Amino acid sequence: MKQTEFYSGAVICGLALGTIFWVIPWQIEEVGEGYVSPRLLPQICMWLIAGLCALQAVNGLRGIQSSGVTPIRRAEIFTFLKLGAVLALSLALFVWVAPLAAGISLIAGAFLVLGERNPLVILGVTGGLLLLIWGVFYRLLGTAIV
Amino acid sequence: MDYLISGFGNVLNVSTLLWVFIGVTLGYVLGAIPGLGKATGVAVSIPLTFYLPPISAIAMLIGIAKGSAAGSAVSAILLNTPGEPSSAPTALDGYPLARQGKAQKALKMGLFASVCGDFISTLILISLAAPLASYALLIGPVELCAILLFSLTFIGGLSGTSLVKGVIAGAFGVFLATVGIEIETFVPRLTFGLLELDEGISLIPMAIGMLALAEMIVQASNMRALDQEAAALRDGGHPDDQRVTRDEWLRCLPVIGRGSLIGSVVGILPGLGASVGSFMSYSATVRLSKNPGSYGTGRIEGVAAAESADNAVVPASLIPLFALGIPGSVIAAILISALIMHGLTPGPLMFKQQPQLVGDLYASLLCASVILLVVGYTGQKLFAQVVRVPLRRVVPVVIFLCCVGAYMETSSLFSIYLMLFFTVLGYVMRKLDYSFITFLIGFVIGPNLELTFRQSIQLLDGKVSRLTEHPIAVVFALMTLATVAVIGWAQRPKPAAEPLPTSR
Repeated sequence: MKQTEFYSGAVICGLALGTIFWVIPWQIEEVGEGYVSPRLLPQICMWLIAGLCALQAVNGLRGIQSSGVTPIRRAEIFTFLKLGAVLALSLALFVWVAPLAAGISLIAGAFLVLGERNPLVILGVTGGLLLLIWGVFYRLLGTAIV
Repeated sequence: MDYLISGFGNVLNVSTLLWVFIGVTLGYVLGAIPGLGKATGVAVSIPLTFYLPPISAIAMLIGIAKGSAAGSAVSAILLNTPGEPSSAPTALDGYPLARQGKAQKALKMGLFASVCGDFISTLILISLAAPLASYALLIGPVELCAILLFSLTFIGGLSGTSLVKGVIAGAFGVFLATVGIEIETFVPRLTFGLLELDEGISLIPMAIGMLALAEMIVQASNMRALDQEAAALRDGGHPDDQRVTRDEWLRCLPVIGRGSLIGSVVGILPGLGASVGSFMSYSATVRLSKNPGSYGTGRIEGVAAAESADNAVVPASLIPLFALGIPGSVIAAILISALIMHGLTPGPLMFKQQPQLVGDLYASLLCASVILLVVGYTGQKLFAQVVRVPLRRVVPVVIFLCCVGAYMETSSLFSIYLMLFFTVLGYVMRKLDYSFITFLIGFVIGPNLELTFRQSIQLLDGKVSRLTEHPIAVVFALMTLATVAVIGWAQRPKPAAEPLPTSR
């Protein structure tokens, strides 16, 4: 059995069936006669996805795997988490403090988590980019970032 | 032709040429950075063009596409890491040349081949798109629905390694295109009460997340190896190592001509993509060579073959977009939103309704080819330095620009959330081998597919038997089935080999 193929096929098939029987009826109202149902195309797409994912899961059970599947490496997970944390902090600063703080934390934070330690580079690029964005938004376009 | 001539009149001014220049330069730099391809470059830059005049904006985006197609050879040659998958065959001979101290020679040939391929393909686009479009005007909704379905299946089958996964990705793209208020009944669909989704999901944050940010995460986790490659580069001392000699030119010209034609044909066919073009051209050159064994050790013809085809695909992939309104590649899919935003709806009617804008577009395509040569040649040494910038200094800048690009579209944080959602989706799709190219194209053609599907149901009165009144649609329906059969057979599952019994 090829676990990646089986589990990804089974999970997406389950999600597609959930969408067909739960999400679509909940999120798309039916309309009266004379119109083509607005649910029609989303349902066709999801039935197609459910059927093909079931086929993929069966192929996975039979030990068949598409050649393009690549393993998720530990380094990628760490990078994902580190950059995700920087983005989350920047979004929080954008909402609760100010766009400037968000910009500083995004650029300088990404530099720091990726291993840049040269203060000139961190300060220079952060300052330069923020100045550029300030020039584009506040001077050139005349729109504030809020 | 008159419109093309007056198009040159509209384009040949300092302002427009400056934007093309900026676009080409930006594209070259983005292309040189591993992982940031032309689609990423255009997706990130679309918001920057909101406030430009239509021709300057479109010309700049075209400049980015062309510049990054050529720039991707820089990292392929210097780092053995293609800026885009389509430059992978460039690395086969380009990187050995760089290791021999002939990086400048390889870069120059890569640039000349890129410009030639691009220019020839642009001429083919200009001469083919309008005549094809006049036939396309005879096509009704039933036929168009069948053509769109065929294109999506074809692209799904060829843009990844699995037809099943390609069709799943395409269907998911079409599904997400249905989010928002339905145009016939005004019923909100899958909006979860979020007003921001009433107009549907925006392509720009989606494309930025899937293409740029997801790729940056992959690159950032591999940056140590890439930075070590960049640090090891040295140039040779002999003058001939720095330039393309007359003898090399004579050997490469037929290769470039053949590569340009292969790239153009591949570009016209939806879904094949630049990678297929460059690999086909490279393998054709190896097969026709008297000494095929020498390829892969630093043959300049290898660089010329791959780069001419790679760059010829870009303009040629606009032919199905302009003639039929069908994006044949991810770059065409992304350009659609930019063209519509700036008042040009791609499709057969644009030749009748906005012929001058089309003429301007063609003129800017040709000017971008010339500017590509100038920028590439004069800035070559500088661009070569781009690959030496450590990735830990590139990634934060790109992430910041991605966020700004997504934010600019709606001036709201919702676009950033969307971008992050599609970053995760794009990363997972990459890892599980679901083609995000087919997904994006499915998303772009989704509204048109639904419209023509609904019209078809009404025109056919819900009876499949009445399809026989539309022979073109029948032909495309059969072609769709044939595509599924042929690609499905070619990719038929092969059970994993049983482990050999071990003797004790």
